[in-house]
Amino acid sequence: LPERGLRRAGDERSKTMFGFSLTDEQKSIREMAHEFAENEIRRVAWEYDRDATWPEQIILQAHELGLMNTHIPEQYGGPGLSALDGCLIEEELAWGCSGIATTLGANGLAGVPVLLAGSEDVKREYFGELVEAPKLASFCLTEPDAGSDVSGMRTRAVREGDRYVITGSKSFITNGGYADWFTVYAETDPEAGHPGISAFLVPRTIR
Amino acid sequence: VIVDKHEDKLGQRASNTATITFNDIEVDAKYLLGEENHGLKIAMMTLDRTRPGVAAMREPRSDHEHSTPDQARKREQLAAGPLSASEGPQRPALKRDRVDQSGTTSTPFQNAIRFLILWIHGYG
Repeated sequence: LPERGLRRAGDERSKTMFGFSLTDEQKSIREMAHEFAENEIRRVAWEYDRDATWPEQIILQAHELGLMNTHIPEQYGGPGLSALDGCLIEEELAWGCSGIATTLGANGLAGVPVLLAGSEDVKREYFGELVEAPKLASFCLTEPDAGSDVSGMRTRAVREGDRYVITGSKSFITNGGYADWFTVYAETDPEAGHPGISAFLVPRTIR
Repeated sequence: VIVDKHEDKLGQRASNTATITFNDIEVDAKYLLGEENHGLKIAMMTLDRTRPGVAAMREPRSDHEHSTPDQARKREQLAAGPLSASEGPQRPALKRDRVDQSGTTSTPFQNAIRFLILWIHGYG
């Protein structure tokens, strides 16, 4: 598991017993995110929201600037920012438009299960993809008949040799139409309810 | 992997929301994340790490102007009379509009509490 605790306890913080001030680096991250939100998001937010426009250009720019995938550790090519840094960015981008910010931030939600529990090979391959190109990933938990009450989950994963066969539907999936891979939750032991759920990474290209 | 339906939402419309169907999708066992039957724990740990960001999205910094262009425009339109047909789809007023018009602010104290909670959970 990733290390816990303050990662950026620099001089600014250690001088006081308990400081809430941001480091200079955090301030500049916030400033960059704010400028991006002001110049690229906020001025088109109304039209994009009204017409339900897919913000492709904004995704390209945000990826280029490093405002996406902030949680990916440096060893997989990401910036390895802390969760607080990520919150600062999300706060600013959502000021521009909460819908566009949701699209830009959803890789974080899909990526954390991989970060917590994926094998080294899987992390290297799929985090590498996200860092190299403006690709998207989705988190698939909610189901049409189960809502977020996962005990009613119907998606099944059956082990057959060295493979799992996954069958089921997931609803309200952010970026679902554009994602290159999915983090999918499925029952491997349907009798067990909650304790019978397993997590999988499912690449879109698999048929 | 089949994309079934793009939701036509009331808000956050620039974000894509779809139904995804998996029909007998075969994946290699290397794509199992963590141990078998540990999925719920992974999901909950994921939410631990990602929900603070969602909270940050809701509350703009206290030194920002609070209404989005969307809300500002709606207020202008309300002042100018009913929407004309050419202005695009009419949507029912959302609860959040009322909340936003009350001018929610976050004080430095609230910010400090938020950061403290993050720090306690080891998010710093």
